[in-house]
Amino acid sequence: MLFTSESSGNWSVPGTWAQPGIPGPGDTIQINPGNVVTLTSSLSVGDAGPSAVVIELGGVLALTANITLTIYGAVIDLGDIDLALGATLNFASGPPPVPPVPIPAPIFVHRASWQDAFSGIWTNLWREDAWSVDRANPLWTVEPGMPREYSEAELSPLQLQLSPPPANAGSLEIITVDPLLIDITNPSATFNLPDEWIHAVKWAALAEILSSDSQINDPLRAKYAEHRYQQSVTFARDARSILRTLVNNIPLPLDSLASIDAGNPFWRNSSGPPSLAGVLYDFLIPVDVPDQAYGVTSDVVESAPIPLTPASFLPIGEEDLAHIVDYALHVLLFKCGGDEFTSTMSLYDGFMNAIAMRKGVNLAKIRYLTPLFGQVQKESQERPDRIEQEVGT
Amino acid sequence: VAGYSQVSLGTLTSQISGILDDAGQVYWTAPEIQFAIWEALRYWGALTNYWRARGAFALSPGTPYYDLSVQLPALRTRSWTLGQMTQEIQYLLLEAPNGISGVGMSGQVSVSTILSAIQRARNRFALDSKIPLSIHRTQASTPPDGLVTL
Repeated sequence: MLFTSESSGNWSVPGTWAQPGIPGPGDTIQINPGNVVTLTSSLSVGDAGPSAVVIELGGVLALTANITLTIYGAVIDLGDIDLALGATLNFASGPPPVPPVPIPAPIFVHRASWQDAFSGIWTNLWREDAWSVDRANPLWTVEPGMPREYSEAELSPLQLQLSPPPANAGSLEIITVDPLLIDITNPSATFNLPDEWIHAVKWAALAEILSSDSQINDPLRAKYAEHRYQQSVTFARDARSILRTLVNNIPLPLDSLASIDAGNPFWRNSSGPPSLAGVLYDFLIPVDVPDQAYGVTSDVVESAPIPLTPASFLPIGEEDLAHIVDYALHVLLFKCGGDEFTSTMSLYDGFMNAIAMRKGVNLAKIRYLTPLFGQVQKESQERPDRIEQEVGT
Repeated sequence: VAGYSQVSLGTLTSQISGILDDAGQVYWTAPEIQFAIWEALRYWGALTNYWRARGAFALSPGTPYYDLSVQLPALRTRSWTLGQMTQEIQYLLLEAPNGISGVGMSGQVSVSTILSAIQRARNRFALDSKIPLSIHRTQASTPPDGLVTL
Protein backbone atom coordinates (compact mmCIF):
# COMPACT_ATOMS: atom_id res chain seq x y z
CA MET A 1 0.00 0.00 0.00
CA LEU A 2 1.24 3.52 -0.80
CA PHE A 3 1.38 5.93 2.12
CA THR A 4 1.75 9.63 1.31
CA SER A 5 2.66 12.16 3.96
CA GLU A 6 0.01 14.66 4.90
CA SER A 7 1.99 16.74 7.39
CA SER A 8 5.29 16.79 9.22
CA GLY A 9 5.48 14.40 12.15
CA ASN A 10 6.54 11.08 13.56
CA TRP A 11 6.42 8.12 11.16
CA SER A 12 4.49 6.07 13.73
CA VAL A 13 1.69 8.60 14.19
CA PRO A 14 -1.28 7.86 11.89
CA GLY A 15 -1.97 11.60 11.39
CA THR A 16 1.34 11.99 9.58
CA TRP A 17 -0.06 9.97 6.68
CA ALA A 18 -3.02 10.60 4.42
CA GLN A 19 -4.02 6.93 4.52
CA PRO A 20 -5.29 5.04 7.56
CA GLY A 21 -2.61 3.25 9.57
CA ILE A 22 1.16 3.60 9.42
CA PRO A 23 3.54 2.23 6.76
CA GLY A 24 5.41 -0.95 7.54
CA PRO A 25 6.93 -3.97 5.78
CA GLY A 26 5.72 -4.28 2.19
CA ASP A 27 4.36 -0.70 2.02
CA THR A 28 5.73 2.13 -0.13
CA ILE A 29 5.96 5.75 0.98
CA GLN A 30 5.99 9.19 -0.56
CA ILE A 31 7.06 12.25 1.45
CA ASN A 32 5.48 15.36 0.00
CA PRO A 33 7.10 18.81 -0.32
CA GLY A 34 7.40 20.66 2.97
CA ASN A 35 6.84 17.56 5.12
CA VAL A 36 9.50 16.29 7.55
CA VAL A 37 8.80 12.70 8.56
CA THR A 38 10.86 11.38 11.48
CA LEU A 39 11.49 7.67 12.00
CA THR A 40 12.37 6.82 15.60
CA SER A 41 12.65 3.03 15.56
CA SER A 42 14.11 0.47 13.16
CA LEU A 43 11.80 -0.69 10.41
CA SER A 44 11.68 -2.24 6.95
CA VAL A 45 9.66 -0.78 4.12
CA GLY A 46 9.24 -1.12 0.36
CA ASP A 47 7.80 -3.54 -2.15
CA ALA A 48 10.96 -4.26 -4.21
CA GLY A 49 9.53 -1.93 -6.90
CA PRO A 50 11.04 1.06 -8.75
CA SER A 51 9.66 3.66 -6.32
CA ALA A 52 9.63 2.06 -2.90
CA VAL A 53 10.55 5.32 -1.18
CA VAL A 54 9.91 8.67 -2.87
CA ILE A 55 11.01 11.92 -1.26
CA GLU A 56 9.66 14.89 -3.19
CA LEU A 57 11.56 18.15 -3.60
CA GLY A 58 11.41 19.91 -0.23
CA GLY A 59 10.46 16.75 1.65
CA VAL A 60 12.68 15.31 4.38
CA LEU A 61 13.04 11.82 5.80
CA ALA A 62 14.84 12.03 9.17
CA LEU A 63 16.17 9.01 11.07
CA THR A 64 16.96 9.42 14.80
CA ALA A 65 20.15 7.99 16.32
CA ASN A 66 21.07 4.29 16.23
CA ILE A 67 18.22 2.98 14.12
CA THR A 68 18.14 1.23 10.75
CA LEU A 69 15.68 1.72 7.92
CA THR A 70 15.77 -1.29 5.58
CA ILE A 71 14.43 -0.49 2.12
CA TYR A 72 13.28 -3.14 -0.37
CA GLY A 73 13.28 -1.49 -3.80
CA ALA A 74 14.48 1.80 -5.28
CA VAL A 75 14.64 5.21 -3.62
CA ILE A 76 13.81 8.38 -5.53
CA ASP A 77 15.33 11.15 -3.47
CA LEU A 78 14.54 14.67 -4.69
CA GLY A 79 14.53 16.06 -1.16
CA ASP A 80 16.71 15.21 1.83
CA ILE A 81 17.49 12.21 4.02
CA ASP A 82 18.85 13.24 7.43
CA LEU A 83 20.70 10.55 9.36
CA ALA A 84 21.46 11.15 13.04
CA LEU A 85 24.57 9.60 14.61
CA GLY A 86 24.50 5.81 14.25
CA ALA A 87 21.45 5.77 11.97
CA THR A 88 21.78 3.67 8.81
CA LEU A 89 19.97 3.02 5.58
CA ASN A 90 20.07 -0.61 4.49
CA PHE A 91 19.23 -1.36 0.85
CA ALA A 92 18.01 -4.95 0.72
CA SER A 93 17.53 -7.15 -2.31
CA GLY A 94 14.87 -9.74 -3.01
CA PRO A 95 11.22 -9.68 -2.02
CA PRO A 96 10.25 -7.95 1.23
CA PRO A 97 9.51 -10.22 4.18
CA VAL A 98 5.88 -11.02 4.77
CA PRO A 99 4.85 -9.68 8.17
CA PRO A 100 3.41 -12.32 10.50
CA VAL A 101 -0.32 -12.10 11.01
CA PRO A 102 -1.11 -12.10 14.72
CA ILE A 103 -3.72 -14.65 15.72
CA PRO A 104 -5.90 -13.22 18.45
CA ALA A 105 -6.86 -15.45 21.34
CA PRO A 106 -10.48 -16.59 21.67
CA ILE A 107 -12.82 -14.34 23.62
CA PHE A 108 -15.36 -16.98 24.57
CA VAL A 109 -15.39 -20.77 24.90
CA HIS A 110 -18.68 -22.45 23.94
CA ARG A 111 -17.60 -25.97 24.67
CA ALA A 112 -14.43 -27.84 25.61
CA SER A 113 -13.47 -31.49 25.52
CA TRP A 114 -10.33 -33.35 26.47
CA GLN A 115 -8.66 -36.38 24.91
CA ASP A 116 -6.30 -38.31 27.12
CA ALA A 117 -3.21 -39.14 25.04
CA PHE A 118 -2.59 -42.37 26.93
CA SER A 119 -6.03 -43.96 26.64
CA GLY A 120 -7.26 -41.99 23.61
CA ILE A 121 -10.57 -41.35 25.42
CA TRP A 122 -12.46 -38.11 24.89
CA THR A 123 -14.61 -36.54 27.56
CA ASN A 124 -16.77 -33.46 27.58
CA LEU A 125 -15.63 -30.82 30.07
CA TRP A 126 -18.32 -28.99 32.02
CA ARG A 127 -18.13 -25.29 32.57
CA GLU A 128 -17.64 -24.61 36.26
CA ASP A 129 -16.31 -21.85 38.41
CA ALA A 130 -13.19 -22.21 40.49
CA TRP A 131 -15.06 -21.61 43.78
CA SER A 132 -17.45 -24.52 43.34
CA VAL A 133 -14.60 -26.81 42.31
CA ASP A 134 -12.68 -25.81 45.43
CA ARG A 135 -15.76 -26.43 47.55
CA ALA A 136 -16.38 -29.87 46.08
CA ASN A 137 -12.82 -31.04 46.62
CA PRO A 138 -10.29 -28.74 48.28
CA LEU A 139 -7.50 -31.13 47.28
CA TRP A 140 -8.32 -31.25 43.57
CA THR A 141 -5.16 -29.33 42.69
CA VAL A 142 -2.93 -32.13 44.02
CA GLU A 143 -4.99 -35.05 42.74
CA PRO A 144 -4.39 -35.29 38.96
CA GLY A 145 -6.73 -37.38 36.87
CA MET A 146 -8.96 -37.17 33.82
CA PRO A 147 -10.21 -33.55 33.65
CA ARG A 148 -13.97 -33.20 34.12
CA GLU A 149 -14.51 -29.45 34.29
CA TYR A 150 -13.04 -26.24 33.09
CA SER A 151 -13.30 -22.71 34.29
CA GLU A 152 -12.16 -19.56 32.58
CA ALA A 153 -9.39 -17.89 34.50
CA GLU A 154 -9.80 -14.13 34.78
CA LEU A 155 -6.71 -13.51 32.74
CA SER A 156 -5.99 -12.14 29.32
CA PRO A 157 -5.33 -13.85 27.01
CA LEU A 158 -7.99 -16.36 27.95
CA GLN A 159 -6.83 -19.37 29.96
CA LEU A 160 -8.75 -22.50 30.84
CA GLN A 161 -8.37 -24.04 34.25
CA LEU A 162 -8.85 -27.79 33.92
CA SER A 163 -9.86 -29.69 37.00
CA PRO A 164 -8.58 -32.05 38.08
CA PRO A 165 -5.23 -31.31 36.44
CA PRO A 166 -4.65 -33.88 33.67
CA ALA A 167 -2.61 -36.86 34.78
CA ASN A 168 -1.45 -37.44 31.21
CA ALA A 169 -0.72 -35.28 28.22
CA GLY A 170 -3.65 -34.83 25.87
CA SER A 171 -5.56 -32.72 23.40
CA LEU A 172 -7.91 -29.90 24.21
CA GLU A 173 -10.65 -29.33 21.66
CA ILE A 174 -12.62 -26.13 22.01
CA ILE A 175 -15.44 -24.42 20.17
CA THR A 176 -14.81 -20.74 20.53
CA VAL A 177 -15.79 -17.29 19.48
CA ASP A 178 -12.72 -15.52 18.18
CA PRO A 179 -12.00 -11.85 17.73
CA LEU A 180 -10.92 -10.69 14.32
CA LEU A 181 -8.17 -8.25 13.45
CA ILE A 182 -9.55 -6.64 10.32
CA ASP A 183 -6.99 -5.52 7.77
CA ILE A 184 -8.11 -1.89 7.61
CA THR A 185 -5.98 -1.27 4.52
CA ASN A 186 -7.94 -3.83 2.50
CA PRO A 187 -11.41 -2.76 1.32
CA SER A 188 -12.17 -6.39 0.40
CA ALA A 189 -11.55 -7.62 3.95
CA THR A 190 -14.57 -9.49 5.29
CA PHE A 191 -15.90 -9.85 8.81
CA ASN A 192 -16.35 -13.62 9.05
CA LEU A 193 -19.90 -12.97 10.16
CA PRO A 194 -23.11 -14.23 8.56
CA ASP A 195 -24.32 -11.55 6.14
CA GLU A 196 -27.73 -11.42 7.81
CA TRP A 197 -26.20 -9.96 11.00
CA ILE A 198 -23.68 -7.62 9.44
CA HIS A 199 -25.94 -4.62 9.97
CA ALA A 200 -25.51 -5.09 13.73
CA VAL A 201 -21.84 -4.21 13.35
CA LYS A 202 -22.80 -1.10 11.41
CA TRP A 203 -25.21 0.07 14.09
CA ALA A 204 -22.71 -0.59 16.88
CA ALA A 205 -20.05 1.41 15.02
CA LEU A 206 -22.51 4.26 14.44
CA ALA A 207 -23.50 4.23 18.12
CA GLU A 208 -19.85 4.68 19.07
CA ILE A 209 -19.14 7.37 16.49
CA LEU A 210 -22.26 9.41 17.21
CA SER A 211 -21.71 9.32 20.97
CA SER A 212 -18.10 10.44 20.70
CA ASP A 213 -17.10 13.77 22.19
CA SER A 214 -16.70 15.55 18.87
CA GLN A 215 -18.60 17.58 16.29
CA ILE A 216 -20.38 14.46 15.08
CA ASN A 217 -22.00 13.85 18.48
CA ASP A 218 -25.75 13.25 18.19
CA PRO A 219 -27.33 11.66 21.29
CA LEU A 220 -30.63 10.89 19.55
CA ARG A 221 -29.14 8.92 16.69
CA ALA A 222 -26.48 7.35 18.95
CA LYS A 223 -29.23 6.03 21.22
CA TYR A 224 -31.19 4.72 18.24
CA ALA A 225 -28.11 3.00 16.79
CA GLU A 226 -27.32 1.39 20.14
CA HIS A 227 -30.92 0.20 20.44
CA ARG A 228 -30.76 -1.33 16.95
CA TYR A 229 -27.50 -3.06 17.86
CA GLN A 230 -28.90 -4.50 21.10
CA GLN A 231 -32.04 -5.64 19.29
CA SER A 232 -29.94 -7.38 16.64
CA VAL A 233 -27.88 -9.17 19.29
CA THR A 234 -31.05 -10.46 20.90
CA PHE A 235 -32.34 -11.71 17.56
CA ALA A 236 -28.99 -13.25 16.60
CA ARG A 237 -28.85 -15.19 19.86
CA ASP A 238 -32.31 -16.53 19.11
CA ALA A 239 -31.57 -17.41 15.49
CA ARG A 240 -31.11 -20.77 13.87
CA SER A 241 -29.66 -21.62 10.51
CA ILE A 242 -30.00 -25.41 10.21
CA LEU A 243 -33.61 -26.56 9.78
CA ARG A 244 -33.39 -30.18 8.75
CA THR A 245 -30.66 -32.66 7.92
CA LEU A 246 -30.74 -35.98 6.10
CA VAL A 247 -27.91 -38.49 6.02
CA ASN A 248 -28.09 -40.88 3.10
CA ASN A 249 -31.62 -39.51 2.60
CA ILE A 250 -32.75 -40.44 6.13
CA PRO A 251 -33.73 -37.55 8.43
CA LEU A 252 -31.64 -37.07 11.55
CA PRO A 253 -33.18 -35.84 14.79
CA LEU A 254 -31.62 -32.51 15.71
CA ASP A 255 -30.85 -31.25 19.19
CA SER A 256 -28.69 -28.66 20.85
CA LEU A 257 -25.08 -29.62 21.42
CA ALA A 258 -25.47 -28.95 25.14
CA SER A 259 -28.29 -31.51 25.32
CA ILE A 260 -26.21 -34.10 23.49
CA ASP A 261 -23.28 -33.52 25.86
CA ALA A 262 -25.63 -33.88 28.82
CA GLY A 263 -27.06 -37.14 27.46
CA ASN A 264 -23.72 -38.68 26.63
CA PRO A 265 -20.55 -36.83 27.68
CA PHE A 266 -18.48 -39.51 25.91
CA TRP A 267 -20.21 -39.34 22.49
CA ARG A 268 -16.97 -38.17 20.94
CA ASN A 269 -15.53 -41.70 21.40
CA SER A 270 -18.21 -43.47 19.37
CA SER A 271 -17.91 -43.81 15.62
CA GLY A 272 -20.50 -45.26 13.30
CA PRO A 273 -23.47 -44.16 11.21
CA PRO A 274 -24.84 -40.88 12.63
CA SER A 275 -28.20 -41.32 14.34
CA LEU A 276 -28.73 -37.75 15.50
CA ALA A 277 -27.01 -34.40 15.18
CA GLY A 278 -26.19 -31.51 17.42
CA VAL A 279 -26.56 -28.06 15.98
CA LEU A 280 -24.98 -24.87 17.18
CA TYR A 281 -25.79 -22.05 14.78
CA ASP A 282 -23.82 -22.88 11.61
CA PHE A 283 -22.17 -25.94 13.16
CA LEU A 284 -23.55 -29.42 12.50
CA ILE A 285 -22.22 -32.20 14.73
CA PRO A 286 -23.28 -35.72 13.70
CA VAL A 287 -23.44 -38.30 16.50
CA ASP A 288 -21.86 -40.88 16.29
CA VAL A 289 -18.74 -39.50 14.70
CA PRO A 290 -18.91 -40.70 11.06
CA ASP A 291 -17.04 -43.94 10.48
CA GLN A 292 -17.05 -43.47 6.72
CA ALA A 293 -18.11 -40.94 4.10
CA TYR A 294 -21.83 -40.14 4.11
CA GLY A 295 -23.84 -37.92 1.82
CA VAL A 296 -25.67 -35.17 3.66
CA THR A 297 -28.36 -32.75 2.63
CA SER A 298 -29.22 -29.89 4.93
CA ASP A 299 -32.13 -27.49 4.70
CA VAL A 300 -30.80 -24.16 5.88
CA VAL A 301 -31.94 -20.61 6.28
CA GLU A 302 -30.38 -19.04 3.24
CA SER A 303 -28.74 -15.64 3.46
CA ALA A 304 -30.96 -13.24 1.52
CA PRO A 305 -30.21 -13.55 -2.21
CA ILE A 306 -29.16 -10.00 -2.98
CA PRO A 307 -30.05 -8.47 -6.37
CA LEU A 308 -26.84 -6.83 -7.55
CA THR A 309 -27.75 -5.22 -10.86
CA PRO A 310 -30.56 -2.73 -11.56
CA ALA A 311 -32.19 -5.32 -13.84
CA SER A 312 -32.26 -8.03 -11.15
CA PHE A 313 -35.65 -8.80 -9.67
CA LEU A 314 -36.28 -8.47 -5.96
CA PRO A 315 -36.42 -12.02 -4.52
CA ILE A 316 -39.56 -11.36 -2.51
CA GLY A 317 -43.27 -11.53 -3.11
CA GLU A 318 -45.30 -8.45 -3.97
CA GLU A 319 -47.21 -8.81 -0.71
CA ASP A 320 -44.04 -8.18 1.32
CA LEU A 321 -42.37 -5.61 -0.91
CA ALA A 322 -43.99 -2.69 0.90
CA HIS A 323 -42.26 -3.72 4.13
CA ILE A 324 -38.87 -3.64 2.39
CA VAL A 325 -39.64 -0.15 1.11
CA ASP A 326 -40.69 0.99 4.61
CA TYR A 327 -37.46 -0.24 6.15
CA ALA A 328 -35.29 1.26 3.41
CA LEU A 329 -37.01 4.66 3.75
CA HIS A 330 -36.54 4.57 7.51
CA VAL A 331 -32.81 3.84 7.21
CA LEU A 332 -32.33 6.42 4.45
CA LEU A 333 -33.80 9.15 6.67
CA PHE A 334 -31.31 8.33 9.44
CA LYS A 335 -28.79 10.78 8.03
CA CYS A 336 -31.29 13.63 8.36
CA GLY A 337 -31.57 13.13 12.12
CA GLY A 338 -34.02 15.03 14.31
CA ASP A 339 -37.74 15.10 13.58
CA GLU A 340 -37.29 14.06 9.96
CA PHE A 341 -35.81 10.79 11.13
CA THR A 342 -38.05 10.18 14.13
CA SER A 343 -41.11 10.74 11.95
CA THR A 344 -40.20 7.50 10.13
CA MET A 345 -40.25 5.34 13.28
CA SER A 346 -43.74 4.17 12.38
CA LEU A 347 -42.27 2.66 9.17
CA TYR A 348 -39.85 0.60 11.23
CA ASP A 349 -42.64 -0.44 13.59
CA GLY A 350 -44.68 -1.56 10.60
CA PHE A 351 -41.73 -3.59 9.31
CA MET A 352 -41.30 -5.30 12.69
CA ASN A 353 -45.04 -6.02 12.94
CA ALA A 354 -44.90 -7.70 9.55
CA ILE A 355 -41.98 -9.80 10.75
CA ALA A 356 -43.89 -10.84 13.87
CA MET A 357 -46.79 -11.94 11.69
CA ARG A 358 -44.48 -13.88 9.38
CA LYS A 359 -42.81 -15.60 12.33
CA GLY A 360 -46.23 -16.63 13.62
CA VAL A 361 -46.99 -18.21 10.26
CA ASN A 362 -43.66 -20.07 10.37
CA LEU A 363 -44.28 -21.38 13.86
CA ALA A 364 -47.66 -22.73 12.82
CA LYS A 365 -46.36 -24.29 9.61
CA ILE A 366 -43.23 -25.87 11.06
CA ARG A 367 -44.17 -26.76 14.60
CA TYR A 368 -41.43 -29.34 15.00
CA LEU A 369 -38.85 -26.57 14.76
CA THR A 370 -40.04 -24.76 17.86
CA PRO A 371 -37.70 -26.54 20.30
CA LEU A 372 -34.80 -25.67 18.08
CA PHE A 373 -35.33 -21.93 17.96
CA GLY A 374 -32.99 -19.95 20.15
CA GLN A 375 -30.18 -22.47 20.09
CA VAL A 376 -27.45 -19.98 20.86
CA GLN A 377 -29.60 -18.64 23.69
CA LYS A 378 -30.23 -22.16 24.95
CA GLU A 379 -26.56 -23.08 24.83
CA SER A 380 -25.76 -19.90 26.66
CA GLN A 381 -28.31 -20.64 29.39
CA GLU A 382 -27.04 -24.16 29.84
CA ARG A 383 -23.42 -23.06 29.87
CA PRO A 384 -23.81 -19.49 31.11
CA ASP A 385 -20.91 -17.12 31.02
CA ARG A 386 -22.82 -14.03 32.03
CA ILE A 387 -25.68 -13.18 34.35
CA GLU A 388 -27.54 -10.10 33.21
CA GLN A 389 -27.66 -7.59 36.02
CA GLU A 390 -28.74 -3.99 36.41
CA VAL A 391 -25.75 -1.70 36.89
CA GLY A 392 -25.57 -0.66 40.52
CA THR A 393 -27.41 -3.65 41.96
CA VAL B 1 -34.01 -16.48 -8.14
CA ALA B 2 -36.22 -14.63 -10.54
CA GLY B 3 -39.94 -14.33 -10.48
CA TYR B 4 -40.88 -13.60 -6.89
CA SER B 5 -41.96 -10.15 -7.97
CA GLN B 6 -41.99 -8.14 -11.14
CA VAL B 7 -40.06 -5.33 -9.53
CA SER B 8 -36.40 -4.96 -10.32
CA LEU B 9 -33.78 -3.40 -8.09
CA GLY B 10 -33.56 -0.45 -10.47
CA THR B 11 -37.32 0.07 -10.46
CA LEU B 12 -37.58 -0.10 -6.69
CA THR B 13 -34.66 2.30 -6.34
CA SER B 14 -36.49 4.79 -8.57
CA GLN B 15 -39.72 4.30 -6.64
CA ILE B 16 -37.96 5.05 -3.38
CA SER B 17 -36.34 8.14 -4.93
CA GLY B 18 -39.79 9.29 -5.87
CA ILE B 19 -41.15 8.76 -2.36
CA LEU B 20 -38.21 10.75 -1.02
CA ASP B 21 -39.10 13.54 -3.47
CA ASP B 22 -35.62 13.18 -4.93
CA ALA B 23 -36.28 11.74 -8.38
CA GLY B 24 -32.94 13.08 -9.63
CA GLN B 25 -31.15 11.10 -6.89
CA VAL B 26 -29.31 14.21 -5.76
CA TYR B 27 -29.68 13.82 -2.02
CA TRP B 28 -29.97 10.03 -1.95
CA THR B 29 -27.93 8.39 -4.70
CA ALA B 30 -28.79 5.03 -6.25
CA PRO B 31 -25.97 3.14 -4.47
CA GLU B 32 -27.09 4.57 -1.13
CA ILE B 33 -30.68 3.48 -1.72
CA GLN B 34 -29.48 0.04 -2.78
CA PHE B 35 -27.53 -0.35 0.46
CA ALA B 36 -30.76 0.35 2.35
CA ILE B 37 -32.74 -2.15 0.24
CA TRP B 38 -30.09 -4.83 0.75
CA GLU B 39 -30.11 -4.30 4.50
CA ALA B 40 -33.90 -4.53 4.50
CA LEU B 41 -33.75 -7.85 2.64
CA ARG B 42 -31.08 -9.26 4.94
CA TYR B 43 -32.87 -8.18 8.09
CA TRP B 44 -36.17 -9.52 6.77
CA GLY B 45 -34.54 -12.85 5.97
CA ALA B 46 -32.74 -13.08 9.31
CA LEU B 47 -35.90 -12.51 11.32
CA THR B 48 -38.40 -14.47 9.24
CA ASN B 49 -36.28 -17.32 7.80
CA TYR B 50 -37.91 -16.24 4.53
CA TRP B 51 -35.33 -17.83 2.24
CA ARG B 52 -34.63 -21.52 2.80
CA ALA B 53 -32.68 -23.84 0.60
CA ARG B 54 -31.26 -27.33 0.53
CA GLY B 55 -27.53 -27.92 0.19
CA ALA B 56 -25.50 -31.09 -0.10
CA PHE B 57 -22.09 -32.01 1.22
CA ALA B 58 -20.27 -35.07 2.52
CA LEU B 59 -19.39 -36.25 6.01
CA SER B 60 -15.83 -37.49 6.32
CA PRO B 61 -14.77 -40.41 8.51
CA GLY B 62 -13.49 -39.25 11.90
CA THR B 63 -14.55 -35.61 11.43
CA PRO B 64 -17.10 -34.56 14.06
CA TYR B 65 -17.72 -30.86 13.27
CA TYR B 66 -19.06 -29.28 10.07
CA ASP B 67 -19.29 -25.54 9.61
CA LEU B 68 -22.03 -24.88 7.07
CA SER B 69 -20.59 -21.49 6.19
CA VAL B 70 -17.66 -23.54 4.84
CA GLN B 71 -19.63 -26.51 3.49
CA LEU B 72 -22.41 -24.44 1.90
CA PRO B 73 -20.85 -21.00 1.33
CA ALA B 74 -23.37 -19.98 -1.32
CA LEU B 75 -26.25 -20.46 1.13
CA ARG B 76 -24.63 -19.25 4.35
CA THR B 77 -22.73 -16.29 2.97
CA ARG B 78 -20.16 -14.17 4.78
CA SER B 79 -19.29 -11.79 1.99
CA TRP B 80 -19.90 -8.22 3.20
CA THR B 81 -16.69 -6.24 2.99
CA LEU B 82 -15.00 -3.53 5.01
CA GLY B 83 -15.17 -1.21 1.99
CA GLN B 84 -18.93 -1.65 1.69
CA MET B 85 -19.57 -1.09 5.37
CA THR B 86 -17.35 1.98 5.44
CA GLN B 87 -19.31 3.43 2.52
CA GLU B 88 -22.63 2.67 4.23
CA ILE B 89 -21.51 4.53 7.32
CA GLN B 90 -20.16 7.42 5.27
CA TYR B 91 -23.57 7.79 3.60
CA LEU B 92 -25.34 7.77 6.97
CA LEU B 93 -22.97 10.42 8.33
CA LEU B 94 -23.32 12.65 5.25
CA GLU B 95 -19.68 12.07 4.35
CA ALA B 96 -18.12 11.48 0.93
CA PRO B 97 -18.71 7.76 0.26
CA ASN B 98 -15.22 6.87 -0.90
CA GLY B 99 -14.64 3.93 1.42
CA ILE B 100 -11.48 3.30 3.37
CA SER B 101 -9.44 5.86 1.41
CA GLY B 102 -11.36 8.58 3.24
CA VAL B 103 -10.91 10.89 0.25
CA GLY B 104 -13.13 13.97 0.39
CA MET B 105 -14.35 13.48 3.95
CA SER B 106 -15.12 16.55 6.05
CA GLY B 107 -13.34 17.28 9.31
CA GLN B 108 -16.37 16.13 11.34
CA VAL B 109 -15.20 12.55 11.50
CA SER B 110 -12.13 10.82 10.08
CA VAL B 111 -12.02 7.55 8.21
CA SER B 112 -9.67 6.25 10.92
CA THR B 113 -12.41 6.86 13.50
CA ILE B 114 -14.89 4.95 11.34
CA LEU B 115 -12.50 2.04 10.76
CA SER B 116 -11.60 1.77 14.44
CA ALA B 117 -15.27 1.82 15.40
CA ILE B 118 -16.02 -0.94 12.87
CA GLN B 119 -13.16 -3.06 14.23
CA ARG B 120 -14.42 -2.74 17.80
CA ALA B 121 -18.05 -3.22 16.78
CA ARG B 122 -17.29 -6.47 14.97
CA ASN B 123 -15.67 -8.01 18.03
CA ARG B 124 -18.32 -6.57 20.35
CA PHE B 125 -20.99 -8.33 18.30
CA ALA B 126 -19.04 -11.60 18.36
CA LEU B 127 -18.75 -11.44 22.15
CA ASP B 128 -22.38 -10.46 22.71
CA SER B 129 -24.04 -12.81 20.22
CA LYS B 130 -21.58 -15.72 20.60
CA ILE B 131 -21.23 -16.11 16.83
CA PRO B 132 -19.37 -16.96 14.66
CA LEU B 133 -17.90 -20.21 15.94
CA SER B 134 -14.44 -21.62 15.43
CA ILE B 135 -12.94 -24.95 16.38
CA HIS B 136 -9.44 -25.28 17.80
CA ARG B 137 -7.49 -28.30 18.87
CA THR B 138 -4.32 -27.90 20.88
CA GLN B 139 -1.89 -30.42 22.23
CA ALA B 140 -1.31 -29.96 25.92
CA SER B 141 1.38 -31.53 28.06
CA THR B 142 0.59 -32.13 31.69
CA PRO B 143 0.31 -28.65 33.16
CA PRO B 144 0.80 -29.30 36.89
CA ASP B 145 -1.73 -26.62 37.75
CA GLY B 146 -4.15 -27.61 34.98
CA LEU B 147 -3.95 -24.13 33.42
CA VAL B 148 -4.00 -24.04 29.62
CA THR B 149 -3.41 -20.81 27.72
CA LEU B 150 -5.51 -20.56 24.57
